[in-house]
This record gives sequence, C-alpha cells and structure tokens, in this order.
Amino acid sequence: MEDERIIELYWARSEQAIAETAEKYGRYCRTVARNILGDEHDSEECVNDTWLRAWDSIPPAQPPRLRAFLARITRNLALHRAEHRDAQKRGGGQYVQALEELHQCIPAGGDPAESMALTELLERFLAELKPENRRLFLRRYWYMCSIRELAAAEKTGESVVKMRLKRMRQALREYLEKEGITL
Amino acid sequence: MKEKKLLYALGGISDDYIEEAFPTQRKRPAWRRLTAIAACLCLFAGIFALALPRETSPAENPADAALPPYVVHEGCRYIISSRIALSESCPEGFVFGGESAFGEYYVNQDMPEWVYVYQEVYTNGQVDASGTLERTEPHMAYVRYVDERIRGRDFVSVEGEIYISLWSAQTYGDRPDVRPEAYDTALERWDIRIEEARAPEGLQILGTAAFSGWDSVPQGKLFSNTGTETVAVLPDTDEVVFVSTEWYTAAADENGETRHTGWNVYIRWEGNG
Repeated sequence: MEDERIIELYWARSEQAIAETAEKYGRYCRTVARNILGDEHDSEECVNDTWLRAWDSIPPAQPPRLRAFLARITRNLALHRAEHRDAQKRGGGQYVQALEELHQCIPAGGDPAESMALTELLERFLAELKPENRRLFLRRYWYMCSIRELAAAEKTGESVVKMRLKRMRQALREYLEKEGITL
Repeated sequence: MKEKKLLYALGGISDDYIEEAFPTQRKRPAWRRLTAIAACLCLFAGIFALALPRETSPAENPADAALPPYVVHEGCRYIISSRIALSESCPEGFVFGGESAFGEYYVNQDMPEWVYVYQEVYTNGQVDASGTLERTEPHMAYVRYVDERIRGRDFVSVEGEIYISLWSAQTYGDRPDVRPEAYDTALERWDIRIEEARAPEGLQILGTAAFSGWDSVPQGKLFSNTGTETVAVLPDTDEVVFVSTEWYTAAADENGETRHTGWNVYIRWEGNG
C-alpha cells in the first residue's frame, strides 16, 4: 500500500493503519531496533512501541516520508531502551560500542551546545562527505550496523572499515572544534 | 553523556540522509532464508503465543502482531504487563468490567491502573534461570494489563510525593509524566544518572524504600516499584530524589568489566494530575 494511503488510514483512526505499517515496515524497523539493542525480545517490544507511538502521533503529524519517520521513532525508542538497560547491565547491541567510538569526536570543555544547532552542524558535516563515506558513517552511527556487517556490505576488511570510520570521527571532531562547538 | 548528545543530535538529520544510508540486505541462499523463517516462527511462538488466545495469534491477524495486546476501558488503554502477571483466580477486589477481544476483563475502582483479562494462556507466568517464560498446556488465567501511562515507569514515593526516574519519564502525550522544561532542567542540572564520585554535596541517605510491586504506583512514606532501593535526598530541595543504582562498563581502555555505583535521578511525577 502507498504511504499516502496508510497515512490516510491513520487520520481516519483505522487500526488497519497499524497492520499496513507493520506489514510494510516491520522488518525495516526491527532491523533498526535490533542493531541498537542486539536482543530479539527487546527489539520486538521496541517495534511494537513504535506502532503505538506512530498511532499517537498521526494525526496531527503528516510525515512526508513514512519510512524515515518510523525509523526515527524506532531509533529513539531503542536508544532510550538501551540506556535504561545499560543502567542495569550491558546489552549485546551496538549501542555501547557506537557510543564509545563517538566519544572520540567530542571536543573538550565549554558550555553545552544546543541539540538543534548540533544537528544542523552534523548535517553540514555530512554534506561535505563523499556519498560513500556518508553512507558508511550513518550506517554505523545512525543505523548502528556492526563493523562486520559494514565490512561485508562494502566487500572489504573490518580493519579498513574501522580506519575509514576513525578518519571520519577525527574529521568530525576537527569540524566541531572549528565551528566552536563544545559539548 | 556528551557522546549521547551527539547520538541523539544525529537522530534529527534529514530524511534524505536516513533513506540514502538505509542498509540494504544482501540476498541469502534459499536454505538460509528458510532457516531464518523457521527461527522467526519459533520466536513468535515463544514470545507472543504464550499470552495470546489462539484465535487472535499474530500469524493470523497482522493487527494483533503489530500491537502488544491491549484493552480499552473508559477511554484508557491498558497494555499487557511486561511482567506477564497471571493469576488462576480473579484477584481480590476486581469485578466484571466488560468484554475485550481477548475475553472478559475485570476492574477495581481502588486499583484503576490495572485490569485483568480472563483469557487463554500458554504459560504459568514463571520465568526460568535464562529469563524465559515457562510454557504450559493452554489454560485460562487472569492476565494483568496495565494503564499505558504507568507501564514501564520507575517510581519512588517519598512522604506521599511520587517521583519518576528520568530514564522512564515521558514528556509528551495527553498526560506527560513531566513537563519537557522540567525534564530538561533536571537533565541539565543533574544528568540522568550520577556516578558515586560525583554525587551532589550534602546528599543524605533517607532510607531503604520498600518494594511496592511491579506495575504499581508506590504510595506512602518510602516505596519503590522497582525493588528495595536506597533513596537519598538533598536538604534544600524536594524537587529531586536520588535512587541507588549500579552498572557495568567494558570500554576498550578498561581491564575487563568495571562495576560502577551511583544514583539515578528522579523528579516529581506530574502524570497523576
């Protein structure tokens, strides 16, 4: 079913909207959740919560791209769940590792940056990357694919992927420093 | 926390980049796909079928597969407890409240945050050492469903005031747990969790909160719905309380796993207003 039709179902408060969303994007959202959480049960609950959140959000939301809209919800829910779980015990997902890697991008000292301003800067940074590097960066830090998955997708070794990511993290750190951003 | 800010800020990038980077999956041989499908079916059976009646099992009804089982009573949505709390007999004080897709449900005016649905289940509600629900022959039981505005929230009550963990507080919806500005202020001031070494000056141990039970809203002098926890306060404010916690990390520069102790930050719950 077309996304526009699914969104119409949400606006009509038809529960068929959930069924259609699950059928079309269930696998996709499960991938997003599983990459972060590394646990099938947690991921399934996270995806179920995504449908509830979408139901609560549309209307009034009218997302121009349903897939990205759902992925964003799933990612946020999974991050919160990973944080909560991490408070008790480490999980098997990529969340902790990705967090540790991103720590290297943080310039030292200063006042907190506004999240919106940071997002805009990140977008500008991403725009300057070559498309293949941008995809790799986002697959690691947005979708949280494992290094092994990325190496397989890129048809290269894990060490090459790690090196490319490391260079981009260094570039991001320099970019943020140059922009006067401190977190 | 700084890297978390980066991670969340990255979440706000444009749809174009999200779509562009979508990791397409490589085609796998047919036998591997079949194995994966079989594994998924087993997983479905394990997770969902235990607490769902046969006629609405996820495989037969996509809508039920998409949502956790829930019932609506007087405009409030009750979602099946994540603890899968079962009872062979109708819990005391609960009376017939209506019919749901899963069976008759029972309500209690003194316990408005729960309803019980009398439905077919495939588990006794017990969890084994691996964390898996024990499977049984199908039988009827009273299954707890929890007000969606309570489910998954970590609370403590201190002298009758209810506080919610920043980990579980939601700032949106018809009845948010806390206002976004209160949440942001607390996050900025205290962080979501504080390591023991950074504990605020003047922190005073109030005592050990008694366990009020899962899915409950604790009431009274000192109670918690997540277990018996040590609660601490600051003498000059009652806007925040601190609840003991521990966690583990194993970063690359650590020698194995490191245990940390500290405090989860709780602020006043506004969801009961």
